[in-house]
Amino acid sequence: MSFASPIFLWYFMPALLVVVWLTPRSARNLVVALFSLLFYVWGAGTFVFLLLACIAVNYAAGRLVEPGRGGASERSRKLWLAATASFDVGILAIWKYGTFAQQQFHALVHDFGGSTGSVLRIALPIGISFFTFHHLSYVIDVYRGVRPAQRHPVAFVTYIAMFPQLIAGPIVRYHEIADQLPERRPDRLGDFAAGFPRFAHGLAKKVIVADSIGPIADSIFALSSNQLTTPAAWLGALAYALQIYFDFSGYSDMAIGLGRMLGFRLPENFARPYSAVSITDFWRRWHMSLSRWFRDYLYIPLGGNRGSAGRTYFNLYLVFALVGFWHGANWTFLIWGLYHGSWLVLERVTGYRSWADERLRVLRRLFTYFVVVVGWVFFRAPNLHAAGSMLQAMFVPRFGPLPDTVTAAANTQRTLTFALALLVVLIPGRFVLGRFLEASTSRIGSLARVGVTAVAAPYAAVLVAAGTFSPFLYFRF
Amino acid sequence: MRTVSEQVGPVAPPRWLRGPWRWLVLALAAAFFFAPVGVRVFGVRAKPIENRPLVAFPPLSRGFHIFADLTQWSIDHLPLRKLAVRTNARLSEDLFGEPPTYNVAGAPVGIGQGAALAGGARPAPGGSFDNMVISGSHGWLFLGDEFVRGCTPDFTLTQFTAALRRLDTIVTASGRKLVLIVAPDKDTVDQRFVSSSTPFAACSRQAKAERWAALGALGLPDFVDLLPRLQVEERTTGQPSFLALDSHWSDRSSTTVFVKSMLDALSPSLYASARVAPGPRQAYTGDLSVLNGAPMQGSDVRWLLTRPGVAPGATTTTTPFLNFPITHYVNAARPGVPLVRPHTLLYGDSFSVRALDQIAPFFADLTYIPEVSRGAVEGPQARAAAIAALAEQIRSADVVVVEQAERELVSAVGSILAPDVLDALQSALAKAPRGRGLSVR
Repeated sequence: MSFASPIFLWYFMPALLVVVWLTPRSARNLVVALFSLLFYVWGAGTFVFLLLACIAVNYAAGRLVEPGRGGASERSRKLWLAATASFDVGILAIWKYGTFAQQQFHALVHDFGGSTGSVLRIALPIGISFFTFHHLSYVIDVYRGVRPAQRHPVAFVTYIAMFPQLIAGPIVRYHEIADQLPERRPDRLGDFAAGFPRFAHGLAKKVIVADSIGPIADSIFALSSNQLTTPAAWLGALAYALQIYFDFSGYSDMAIGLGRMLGFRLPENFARPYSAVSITDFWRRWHMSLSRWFRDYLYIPLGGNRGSAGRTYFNLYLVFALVGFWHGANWTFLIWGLYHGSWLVLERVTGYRSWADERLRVLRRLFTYFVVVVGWVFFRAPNLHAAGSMLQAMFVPRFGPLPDTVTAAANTQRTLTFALALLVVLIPGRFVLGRFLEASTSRIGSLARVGVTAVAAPYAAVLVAAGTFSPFLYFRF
Repeated sequence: MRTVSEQVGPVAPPRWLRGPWRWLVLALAAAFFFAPVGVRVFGVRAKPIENRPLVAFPPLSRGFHIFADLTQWSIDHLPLRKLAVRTNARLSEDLFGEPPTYNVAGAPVGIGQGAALAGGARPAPGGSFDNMVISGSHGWLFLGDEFVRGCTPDFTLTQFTAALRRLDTIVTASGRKLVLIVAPDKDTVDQRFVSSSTPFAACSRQAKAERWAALGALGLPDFVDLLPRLQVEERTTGQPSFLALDSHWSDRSSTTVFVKSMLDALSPSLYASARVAPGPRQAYTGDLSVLNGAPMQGSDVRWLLTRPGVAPGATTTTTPFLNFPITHYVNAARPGVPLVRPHTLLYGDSFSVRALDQIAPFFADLTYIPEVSRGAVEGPQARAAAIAALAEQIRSADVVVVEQAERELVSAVGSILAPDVLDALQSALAKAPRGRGLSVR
């Protein structure tokens, strides 16, 4: 179930809100947990049993790895932690990477002249990357003694399955939310009012902007290599850069807003990433919850930057290879991760990352944006060959008219949305529209916030409802 | 060096959300989430706005499939949806001067879910319009598919002509008569209303010209070439053949060109025996405007065709055929009034359906069967059933009239020229040859 769907907006949410408000404050977690499982089963069907099994295993493991547990030895806790982490990673490996691994094996055997049976296709459970990382965060935080193990199964299910963050994040580390789980929020209407504008702004970013720009990018990434021209390739890469930002940050805004409506404060996930002045800076602003997760649970345990320069570079490469692969089982994602890892290493080697933010700010910002946009080509292309064709068209000048498929996709409305979105991400970094709308305490700020909500929410609602319209041509029959 | 706070949001609602602002936001939020439920409580019910009935509430016996079924049910039964569709269409046309697009907002893009989600839906090979309808000049609307399929047909010109020959051979070699009619696309006939900037238009125009030339050059004995006849009609009347808001031609073109040409191919005496006259002007709702989500009305002169001396017999609707009936007409005529006597099968699309009342009285025994693309919409099994039904109907006929729109004829899914359709026809007709020929008495 997508947040930007009629079933979610006008059936699921009203039902949830009514039940939340009609039940005692103490029942919040139970209501959220039950509705979250319903949310999951709606999109994932029987995979809900996999989710529940993982929840059960990790809930039990939390008690076993907790420090001071009935005299359990450090060694035993460590073993339980290793076993649980292996279980979680194994689940992810099988369901997310199993098909890919088989394909590579079959290709390898084929290359050596052998033959194999058919590839067993394994369906990908929705949200598996997210709930696996939540589980790992939980057992590691508990093992480290950062937070005690969760005693209440309902609260644990609420943390893992909480629908606002279940399918697209943000990735909430356990210690960020553990203290919120037992809360009985005194001002539920206040929470609801605080969350709604954020949700509406996110919905607008997703539905009005990202979904409008998406077809432009889709039409260009679908071109064959002989149809690609340099302007078309850049248009496609820029369109995808905008689409993924407004889509993903819009989803995060919706998640944070929904969480807030229910009395949870979820961590921020974006901080104007296209204002970054370096790739190091970019990763402090893009998918921040993922960066923090990898930093806390992998980069620092590997030694972070405390060892030699070589060791630090190795750690960075390893982490970003995994960051890339986490996004999908395809070589394109791995290359994308390594591409970013390489820039991070380069910025360390040259000392570029230590430059003051203001130094050559505009040029550095444009260069960073350029690097990021080029990187998105690997992320979006269906395979490395397609990515190569796209990059070749971007950097080896080749001109010609835009193919009809592109001009058909880039209608007036979408072109205008694309231009405005590009303007928004390229305006000076000090003027942050989202921050103004979110945090300004002035009367004008309040008016702008409510005004934008009052326009954006209904327009987004119209697009969501109208987007379901699918008549059949031969209606006269 | 910039640092980004890792603090989660504040515990208490923000300061600005006190006093009237809070109530204003709450009112907005309540209206946003509860408006459809609210109006439903007050008796507002969703009505069908697409060309199908609303989906019924799924039975619990569907198991886990019930969730997918419920999603469609919830969309269909969403109050105010019609208002949203109309508003979207109006905004798109008034603000941007173009028909609306209907993208279903959906899953997040490329976030940890693998390549399946990255980028969402991709255009079909050869490209497509997201908006089904394209605006032309002078308020004319066109079907986007006409341009796309015109430009990138599923069949090459060689495959197309070879398939047409094969169809002709299959039917005529079995002793049956085949009358083939291709209904030209709206943009083929009324190109002057197509905006020069329309994507695919130039390519489509060139490809269509080649295709029509090839069609004429095939020399099929009973091919009815409507394109020049419609062009002559336009020059004679000074009126466009097609309706501005509809994908079909006017009632005048339907009667005086389509019906006449079909009958002339069977016997020149048939059409002459009818009384044909223009009738009153009537309002119509353009199917293209309906596809646009903003129904508009135009008007068209209704043409009246009567057959003195023909007594309509039984009209039976036989098996429901993928929601569209196979219809069987039996007529009798006074001596001296000509009728096509052999059992005739008319395989046609909506152009035929619109003219059925005028066509049927010329036949003693006529069966109408809708085109197989209906089955394709429902899935492979339905398509197979549709093809089997078509083969069976043709097997029982002496005369076969095939009418199909140009855009559909070059579609691998909808065309009667699709290899699976032709294979089925070949197999069925080879076992049941006929030798009676055509008799019009």
